[in-house]
Amino acid sequence: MSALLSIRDLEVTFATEAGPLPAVQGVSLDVAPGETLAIVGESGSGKSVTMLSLLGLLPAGAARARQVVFDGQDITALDEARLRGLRGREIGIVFQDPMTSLNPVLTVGRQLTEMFELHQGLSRGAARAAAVETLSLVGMPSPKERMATYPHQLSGGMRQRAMIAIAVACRPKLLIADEPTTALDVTIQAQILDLIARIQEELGMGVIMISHDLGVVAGVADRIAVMYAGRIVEIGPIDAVFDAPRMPYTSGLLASVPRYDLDADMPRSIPGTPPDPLARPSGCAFRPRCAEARAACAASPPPALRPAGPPPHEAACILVGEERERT
Amino acid sequence: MATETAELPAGPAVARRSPGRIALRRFLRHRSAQVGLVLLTAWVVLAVFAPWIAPYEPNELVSRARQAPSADHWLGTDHLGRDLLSRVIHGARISLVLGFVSVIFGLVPGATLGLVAGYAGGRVDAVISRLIDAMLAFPSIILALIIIATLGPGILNVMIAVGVASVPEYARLMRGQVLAARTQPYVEAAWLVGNDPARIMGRHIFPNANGPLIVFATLQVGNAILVGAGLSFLGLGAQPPTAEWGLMSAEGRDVLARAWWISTFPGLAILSVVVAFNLVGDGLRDAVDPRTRPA
Amino acid sequence: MTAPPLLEVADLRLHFPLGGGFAFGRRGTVKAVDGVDFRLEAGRTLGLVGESGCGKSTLGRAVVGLETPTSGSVTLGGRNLAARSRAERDADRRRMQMIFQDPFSSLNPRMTVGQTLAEPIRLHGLREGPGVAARVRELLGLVDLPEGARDRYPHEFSGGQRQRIGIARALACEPELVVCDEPVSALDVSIQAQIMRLLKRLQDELGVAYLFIGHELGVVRQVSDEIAVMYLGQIVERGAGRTLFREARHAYTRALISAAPIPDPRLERLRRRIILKGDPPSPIDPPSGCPFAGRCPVAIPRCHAERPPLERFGPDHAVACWRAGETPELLPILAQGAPARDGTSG
Ligand SMILES: Nc1ncnc2c1ncn2[C@@H]1O[C@H](COP(=O)(O)OP(=O)(O)OP(=O)(O)O)[C@@H](O)[C@H]1O
Ligand SMILES: Nc1ncnc2c1ncn2[C@@H]1O[C@H](COP(=O)(O)OP(=O)(O)OP(=O)(O)O)[C@@H](O)[C@H]1O
Ligand SMILES: [Mg+2]
Ligand SMILES: [Mg+2]
Repeated sequence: MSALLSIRDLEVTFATEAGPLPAVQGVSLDVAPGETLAIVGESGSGKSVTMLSLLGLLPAGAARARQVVFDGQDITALDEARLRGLRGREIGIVFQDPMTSLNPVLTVGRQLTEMFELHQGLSRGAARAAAVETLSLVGMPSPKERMATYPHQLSGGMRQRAMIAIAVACRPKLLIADEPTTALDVTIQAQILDLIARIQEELGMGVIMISHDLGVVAGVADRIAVMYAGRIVEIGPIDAVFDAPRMPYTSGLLASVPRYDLDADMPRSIPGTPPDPLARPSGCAFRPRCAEARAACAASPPPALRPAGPPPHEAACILVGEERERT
Repeated sequence: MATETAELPAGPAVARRSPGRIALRRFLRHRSAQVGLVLLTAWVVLAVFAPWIAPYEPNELVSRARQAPSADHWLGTDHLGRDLLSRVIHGARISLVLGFVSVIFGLVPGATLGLVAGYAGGRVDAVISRLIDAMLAFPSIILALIIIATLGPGILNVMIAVGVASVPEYARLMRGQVLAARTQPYVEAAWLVGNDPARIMGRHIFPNANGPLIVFATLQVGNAILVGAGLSFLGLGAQPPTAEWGLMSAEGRDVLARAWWISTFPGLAILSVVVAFNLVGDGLRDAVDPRTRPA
Repeated sequence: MTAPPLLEVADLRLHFPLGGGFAFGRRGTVKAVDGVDFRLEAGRTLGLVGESGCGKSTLGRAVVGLETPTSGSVTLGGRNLAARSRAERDADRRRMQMIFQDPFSSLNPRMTVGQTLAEPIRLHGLREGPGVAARVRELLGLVDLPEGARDRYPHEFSGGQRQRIGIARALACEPELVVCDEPVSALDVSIQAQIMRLLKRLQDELGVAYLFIGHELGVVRQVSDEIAVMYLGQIVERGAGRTLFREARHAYTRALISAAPIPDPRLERLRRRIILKGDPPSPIDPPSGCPFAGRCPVAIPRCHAERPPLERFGPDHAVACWRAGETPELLPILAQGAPARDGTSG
């Protein structure tokens, strides 16, 4: 099946005072229509930057890719205006902190009707009706009355609903959710995750769910990509990756999540800290923290991942090759 | 044991430097701060070595009155026949001292009041804040004039007046900084580990709250020099025959058309010192708070 | 007579008057902590979980003395802290320390790590002369930081390393109790585990007791001997750390558990979430009955009328819920037929 979104060899480098900062290195991934791809990784691993680069929201010249195809169009060839049209209409975005992305001086209703007027050319009245309908889609209680409220008058959970309403207003083909529940309590988080899953089913969107919470990811994703130090180090179907992680970083990450449902021991920890992006070690960036590192890990970067087609479960680790030879 | 050893961040990006040293480096690299510093250093050197640098004594009658600038008297002579260059150089001493002393008269009591008000809170804060508000209701120049009127004219009184008039500004600034710093977890931790209020204020709050204060004080030195010169111009400050810039400008006022240099050169001196302090102050502000720095 | 517990909190209330009042017509009080009782034995850990704003931090801060209780008492080693002279209180301050959530704002940026650690040692005269420096080295070793960290400033360290410094500062006072206010919430998963293990090891070595505040059930479960669940300023359920999340009986606790994600995709597919209606109510003039009644899926009229007391429900288990006897049937968490997975993961 053809992919909804297909990224090949994405590189993002920021020019900083201290020199070029490689935030994303050689990222390739595919998202199929209707599927949920989770991107997990520690803070600074490049999750957000990967997505921002798709939307043309990075400083000029920072992002380069061999190919970015969304729904048959090559995004790298689009100009700013076309990209803006794509953003919001075909690709919906939800951020962690709704307060930074909702306009504080416009009512929720106005921000929604704007989407319809701008992207679908609806009349005022029709846009209003569509906005009320969207608010009820995201489970906003008494949607008609909520149209007139300002973002700051809503609770955190309600704000996130409003944000989702705006994101899905134009029935996008792809929804990018960047830590949509990190600022929320678990009971509210459950509501929001349920909501996203329901809308996805209803609209048949593809979803990219960025999170650092492996629990959240386990509940919602079909496939998972693990990022470390700007690279995808493992990618595969969610069950396969959780059952049999191939990269020591992934297994370390899984083992360091404390469980409340098991009588397990204290979680294991990965020693050390992620490398400074300005001074990443040669070869595999995880090498200094890796219990299974060997001389060859320092020599060259780990083998590149084949993002699509079989085999679906891949890891950028020399252990994978050795394992294959053994079996 | 100790499986969870943590590595320190490696690499050249993190050298061992205190936040103060980092700010200093940023300051010294700041373009306008560099210009201001050069200008200021020049004035300080002139002031300190005035007797050796100035060609004449400031009050020595060297020539006929109102001589235009010439090879003998680069800036000309004043209405009594004194060498204007020598007087401008000597005037730097008075103006710089006036600037610094009046800032100290304002900064020390102002910062103390603000620190106490911000930290103590409650009734103490209410009383001090009321006082600050009452003083802020007057423009500081009016306040200074009221104080001068009470104390009588004189250069020391000008310093007191200009200093005291700025006390509420310092106090307000300090209080705001302290209020922000006070609820920081590290201040609460300082209390928990057993610091008394004086140490919390002195060691934990003040060092983290003084940045804006230093910037303001620097800008205020220039301002104090300007106000002090203004008061002297009005006859409320330095008295003849003192070589004071404001007074010197006043002395040329009546003959501006015939002898422009008598007023103009002291005025330019005031301008350049004030500009120097403003440039330095701007540099300090950007160094202390890098967010305002243009990219 | 048995020895008094290390820490005893009795009917503690902490109400904040709502100042200003121009934004909303009427003023009220924020009942951040509203009648909390618990005891904590030396060398043990009590975990405290609950939603944002339910009063966990306020409770912890009241225990160490950063907030003054409206009523009720905090008793340390059998001595009521409020009823004592200022000098005695100052001496007791050392015995209770705190670790903060934000590793960035909890260290004085103008002091080196060595200065930060030496300060409490000097203030309390815990060591003399060269003993101070030796103790600083010892503390750095305890939290697995290299000796060279002593002369560095906080901004040179990562979040996890700063949290270690904060822990070392608390330990410098040689406390008997440390209130840990979400000490790992701001950290990455792989670093979280490091800090949790460190806290556990320090407890084993030094015998400190922890009041451990958190909102992640897994974290709290792993470090706590006993867990208390808070809702709107009250403890609604309390039980042994090993079993509470399996045997929870308060409707809120069950909803919380059902909502907390588990990093196991197969298990996640079998779970049934108890989706709560609405938002958490505000602690401004909270309801008079059960604080959870408004959102509870199985509330009965009595819940709205009468506040249920925290009553014993089996050994090491107390619940404040009128329907505690029926909740496991009313609010199942795992779907029928799901394997009851105990024991270690494979
Ligand atoms: N505009 C920018 N200029 C310079 N560096 C940037 C910029 N945006 C991000 N970075 C850097 O790029 C790297 C990746 O950042 P990114 O925001 O993608 O991380 P993340 O995985 O989303 O982390 P988090 O979980 O904290 O959100 C980081 O080192 C970050 O500091
Ligand atoms: N100084 C204060 N003045 C007024 N209200 C306060 C004050 N401190 C806390 N509150 C209120 O008391 C309630 C409890 O706050 P607290 O910080 O204890 O919650 P928490 O359980 O620690 O939440 P979180 O998980 O978000 O840290 C909140 O509603 C908060 O707004
Ligand atoms: Mg991010
Ligand atoms: Mg809190």
